[in-house]
Amino acid sequence: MSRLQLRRLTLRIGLVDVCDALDLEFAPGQCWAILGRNGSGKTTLLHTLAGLRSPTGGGLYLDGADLATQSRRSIARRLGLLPQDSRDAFPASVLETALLGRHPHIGFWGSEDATDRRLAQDALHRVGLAGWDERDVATLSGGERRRLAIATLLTQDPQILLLDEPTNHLDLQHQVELVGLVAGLAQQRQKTTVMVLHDLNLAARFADHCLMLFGDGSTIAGPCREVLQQRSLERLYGVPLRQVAQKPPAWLPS
Amino acid sequence: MRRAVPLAALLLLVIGGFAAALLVGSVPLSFGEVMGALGAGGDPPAQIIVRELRLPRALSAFCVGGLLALVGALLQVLLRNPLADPYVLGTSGGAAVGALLAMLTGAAGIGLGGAAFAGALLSTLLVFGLARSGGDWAPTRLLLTGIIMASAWGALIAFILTIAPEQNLRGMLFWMMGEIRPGDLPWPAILVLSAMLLVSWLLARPLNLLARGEQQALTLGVDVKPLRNLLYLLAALGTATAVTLAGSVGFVGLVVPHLLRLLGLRDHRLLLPACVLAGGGLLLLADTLARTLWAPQQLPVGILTAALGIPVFLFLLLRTRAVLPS
Repeated sequence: MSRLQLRRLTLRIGLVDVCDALDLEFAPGQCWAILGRNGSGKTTLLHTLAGLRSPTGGGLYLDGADLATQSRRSIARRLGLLPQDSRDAFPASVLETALLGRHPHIGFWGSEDATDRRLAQDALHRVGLAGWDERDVATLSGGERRRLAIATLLTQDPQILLLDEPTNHLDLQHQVELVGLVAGLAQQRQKTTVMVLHDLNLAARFADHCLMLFGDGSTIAGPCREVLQQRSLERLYGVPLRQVAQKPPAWLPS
Repeated sequence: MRRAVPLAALLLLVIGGFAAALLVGSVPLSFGEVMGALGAGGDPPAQIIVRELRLPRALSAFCVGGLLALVGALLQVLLRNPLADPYVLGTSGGAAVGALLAMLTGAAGIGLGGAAFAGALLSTLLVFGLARSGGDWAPTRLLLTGIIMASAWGALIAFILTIAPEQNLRGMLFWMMGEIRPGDLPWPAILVLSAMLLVSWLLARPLNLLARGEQQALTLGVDVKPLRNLLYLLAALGTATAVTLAGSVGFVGLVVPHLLRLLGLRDHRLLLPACVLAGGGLLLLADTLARTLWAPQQLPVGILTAALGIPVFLFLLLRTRAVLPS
């Protein structure tokens, strides 16, 4: 069971203060939503959590060891990232793309075996792309490509999953299904999931923890039922809100 | 094993190419004579023709084609740009300036190859240094720096051609068009090609990931920075070796990797060895045609690579129903 800890993490990009001396732990079984306006540093924070960029101050600890000192391969076995967008320069098939997720688990001299292929096909099945193995990725629609990217992450099967706007390009049905799937990984398989979400109501429905980034260095973090308060949300998004449901809570701009 | 079928077919093409290169020429030799000359026996004229003329030339052609196609595949991944070819980093321009200067100063007899190699290496290192002087380099930056350097070399080449004496011009132009020259067995190129194929093949799985973008490669456990540097070094060395041997032969490095991808070889574990076989085989056939079609006049081999490769490529491009990534 891997844990990711933020110790006095400070992150600045240009004029934006993403967070200031933030102490936080993402523990197994938790499903986090990161909320904030455009440009408040959600993606930057997620990339920092994945070790793709170094923090301005403080540190990140994966299983107690400084993330910056660990090899990419060893990190990739425990922590995976779904990027906001993916672009393909070369032709590739659906199964090949999902199989890439097995890379950190295969030794230098090894290659994908039947088990890896089964894991990839299973992941494709879970995102609704079963039987599409040989399809060329270039022929997929935006939403189908998004589901394929999620399948690659599921094939990687890390303990900690970081997802940057997983619902991008997805229709309503798949938004609910896939965010539900990710939340289920936390509840049923004790994974740690951290999602950047723009849909406040999806976050309120599926996440159990929430981190709000205000863009001025201040943050609010904690269990959703405690921190998802109308006043903080109005401050977060800068628009007046009207609560339209209680369990789970839902808001609309008023 | 089904995946190895294209490789076996390409291997047959290469064997056929070598057979043609050794059998065909101004002095026709029979299969028996060639085999005799390759072995210990055979009569002296056949032995000289095969061992000292045709075999070294055939091996040179194979190595140049193999190197160019392999480097093309590597650079297309490194720059994540399907239009990248071995000369995109100004390598051929640098080599040409080195070679032309050697011809101009009359040092060609002793150091034409060395001058070309030095020019090629200098150019790639310059581009690399300039592109990363602002810290980390991005593919676009590297590409732009390479293109700018190439045009700088182009201007320098035009200048050298303008001031060069009349009797040097033909040799200079032919050098730049690319031709396989007769010579000794090309041991340096054979070694560079074998080493490059081995090293890059061991990196094939990380290359599959890098082709999907740096971020994806990093999050799936590839240490991108050392990989990029190594790829750059391999590309520089491979291109410099090829250019030294044959000037700049266009088309092979750009098109052979794409041709193989269109045929379905997308995994670099298959694509890289296939590039060596297909690129080498193509240049071998092209060079055999170049020295026999218009005999005794030799055609620049680039004309033949284009004549052989472009119809095949266009046919595949039109036939393939798969949508190319935009």
